[in-house]
Amino acid sequence: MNARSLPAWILDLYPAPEGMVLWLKTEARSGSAEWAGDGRALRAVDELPMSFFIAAEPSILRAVWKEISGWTGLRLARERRFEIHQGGEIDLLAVTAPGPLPYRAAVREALARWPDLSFYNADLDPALVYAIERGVFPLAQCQVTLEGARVRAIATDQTRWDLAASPPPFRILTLRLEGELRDPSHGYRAPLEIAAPEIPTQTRAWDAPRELVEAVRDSLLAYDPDILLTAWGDSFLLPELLQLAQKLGIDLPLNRDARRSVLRKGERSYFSYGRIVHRPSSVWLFGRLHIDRQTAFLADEYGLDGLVELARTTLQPLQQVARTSSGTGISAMQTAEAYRRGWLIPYRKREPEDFKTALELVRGDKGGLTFQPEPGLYEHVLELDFASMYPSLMVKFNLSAETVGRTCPKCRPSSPIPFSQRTLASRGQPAPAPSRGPGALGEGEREGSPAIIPEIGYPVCQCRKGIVPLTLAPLLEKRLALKKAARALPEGPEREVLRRRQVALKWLLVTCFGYLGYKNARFGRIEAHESTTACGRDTLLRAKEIAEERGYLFLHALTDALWIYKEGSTDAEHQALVEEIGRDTGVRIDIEGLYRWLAFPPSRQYAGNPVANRYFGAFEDGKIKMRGIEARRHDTIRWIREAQAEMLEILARAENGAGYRARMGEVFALAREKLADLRRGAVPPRQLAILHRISQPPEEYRANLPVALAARELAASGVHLAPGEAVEFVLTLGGGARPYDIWRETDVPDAARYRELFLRMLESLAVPAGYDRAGILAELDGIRQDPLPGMAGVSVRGLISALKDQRDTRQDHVGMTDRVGLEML
Amino acid sequence: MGRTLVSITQQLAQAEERLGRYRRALARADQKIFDELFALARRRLAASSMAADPLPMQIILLGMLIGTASAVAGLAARVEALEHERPLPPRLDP
Repeated sequence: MNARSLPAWILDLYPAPEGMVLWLKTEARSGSAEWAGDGRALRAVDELPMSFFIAAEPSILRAVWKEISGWTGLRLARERRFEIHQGGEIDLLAVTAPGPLPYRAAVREALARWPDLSFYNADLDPALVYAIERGVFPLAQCQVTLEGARVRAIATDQTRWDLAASPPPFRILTLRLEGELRDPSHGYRAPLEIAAPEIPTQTRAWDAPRELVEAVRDSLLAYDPDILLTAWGDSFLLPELLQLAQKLGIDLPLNRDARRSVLRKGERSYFSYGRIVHRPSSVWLFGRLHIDRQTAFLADEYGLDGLVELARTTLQPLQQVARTSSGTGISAMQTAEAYRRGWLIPYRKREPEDFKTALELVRGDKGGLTFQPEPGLYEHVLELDFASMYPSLMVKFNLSAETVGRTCPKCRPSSPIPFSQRTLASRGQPAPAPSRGPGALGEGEREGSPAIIPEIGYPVCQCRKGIVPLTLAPLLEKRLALKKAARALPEGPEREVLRRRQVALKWLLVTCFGYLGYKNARFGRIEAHESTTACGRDTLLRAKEIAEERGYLFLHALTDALWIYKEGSTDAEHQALVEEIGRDTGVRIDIEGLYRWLAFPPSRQYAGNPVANRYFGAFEDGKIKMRGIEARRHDTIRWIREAQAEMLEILARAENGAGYRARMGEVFALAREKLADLRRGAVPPRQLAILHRISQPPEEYRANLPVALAARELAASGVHLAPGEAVEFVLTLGGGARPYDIWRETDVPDAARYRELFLRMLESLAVPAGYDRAGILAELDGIRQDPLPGMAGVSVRGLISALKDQRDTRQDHVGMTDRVGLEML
Repeated sequence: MGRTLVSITQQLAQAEERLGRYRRALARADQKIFDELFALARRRLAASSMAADPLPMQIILLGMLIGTASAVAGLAARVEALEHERPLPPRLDP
């Protein structure tokens, strides 16, 4: 049979009895060669032998060998490989299967037979192994030589670190219900919309199922999409379509691979960091990629461009990337790095997918330094942010599971370098060069003194680069390069693509820190995690000290960001400051911006007390930055979120603290309008719907909380709700709550409860300007009211409240205004 | 993250709770001062966590002392300014 060679993208790859199946997306160009593609996808097959390893006492290993040699189709060998936690090579039995499916079968059998032995490389993803073995990656543009459907050769001149690599020219077919995005499994039905860029959009009603299924089938056949992009395709659309097709006897080619049937994975609810998480069921296609925008992890944040970036850098097929967390991505990258070097990959029984909320871990972990800012309104505040602080520290100090708390024979333990001196040494001094003869040190190794972690005192071996820094270094570099490239472009779609790609990588970097301490992560170890936060605290304090030495006043700091103030400070001074901090700490720090005004609202829980992560302010260019306030929170109802955003737009025009206070009049005027709309019933219920995740099955709620009422009513109407799933409801008169999905025209929202929510939002903005609850009510109603007990907002308490009035008149000259509290005298 | 140790934030909250009956027996004016002192300690949580002291109450008390001393220093500066009819010093250090 003749071989043919053609350029193509690797669209999808998965194991099959024949080996690995590759879906190759050909280029749509009319070439002269008879092989030139036509933009269609081809199915090709390649071989992929895969190995796993068993370690044990020599006598046991011999017995195991003897027994496995009786199993068919496997190749056995003795090998020595590097085990990172032991820091050296160990003796192993290598078991090689001819393909991914026999590999999985053999692993399963061996694990069942010898559950107590140490297994390595026992749960590798065939797609990842294939990519490394062939030097390719998902969605790479390759040159492929085919003999029939067999891959003879495959190669790419791209790398997964290329900035310029453009995504394959996907053909995308969109399936969704017409109208606003609403969860159909809660009862919502609207005609199905079938859309693609090059064909006219069709809509089909569900009460004519045959026409509907046939329209989908015809679109699939005519357009042959690479990607099926859906809204609720996982939980509703595709299962429903498949069921209808089966009932009507219509062949619905959702898959391109006719030999495979659609794969459905069930839903599940699980606990993760004190919160219940619901993972909906999913529908996986073969040869075509199904992406459900409702379940794609963070897809709203970085879109398809970000998913493509993740598939490439983490070596996971696109469908997988769209359904797993960034923790899985980091784990895959570490596995790839170890595999590429021939290092052993520890086997973990549990899938790392459970690790859904690493981001919350970073926010919630007390390992980072969390200061308490003085509530109030400030001017001319400078915010500095360390760029990817934790990953940078991991790379810089070689923080990894196998390096922290360990020294190797090549370390010079007699001369450990304290952290502070180590950072000083990084000022331009090159790393110590290998001094022994050639061959003494392996790849990536150098002789050196261990670094010493501040506070904890762990030594960290610097001789051999750890798996975590090895994984992160190119990732950090790529993200920085993407950011730089984006900055060089004018505002526009190209720049947006680069932004999305770098944001996708940012989530990987954020996750990698949590992963370091995660007990189910292959390369995780709590000591490495502790060391990272300890280095982070030291770095942040160093930045604070440098700023204070330069005459800045320290206002607030949070893990990797710093808020400081210096009267009349100039851009040149700020620049000099970040340069010195960067030089001294060895971690890049950027100017986030200079605030015209910045507010730290007080805590609701402890009136007058600060909250670490709630603030909002306007930068010099008028851009608003906000954290933790209503407009930024996902659980805020739309009416309030939008109202606050409008109010912040008004306030963003203020030049300083005085301007902020002056514009509060406009804000109150807007608030009066909004509240009048509410009273008149002119706010649509959609705007008032509260989104809440249920923490238990509807029938198990004891108290009649609004969420419980709504969940029970939904359940009674036949909707299946699992813990962790979201319920949307509107508060109704008489203390009730109606699920938004079954809202009736006769239902009336409870204006009083919504007014209270609105007032709390307004407090966030008004309290920093000096208003308390009574003052706000006076502005809204024109009537002075006594504050209700417990609603005093920030009132001045304590020993010296008599001084308050005096103080208020003499503030602006120090750049901070309206600061209340005892110790600020 | 599954922390093995109780954080200083929790320890402070526990200390305040433990002293609930003590607070109850105070006169209302003293109760306000009691709350104010705990607020002073709470504002120094970052420093308290760096201390990693086995006896958290002494770090909490230290936070109250520093806050009070800072208030006294501020008052002293203001008194001196008023006595010499100089402009009042800025109140900066939180």
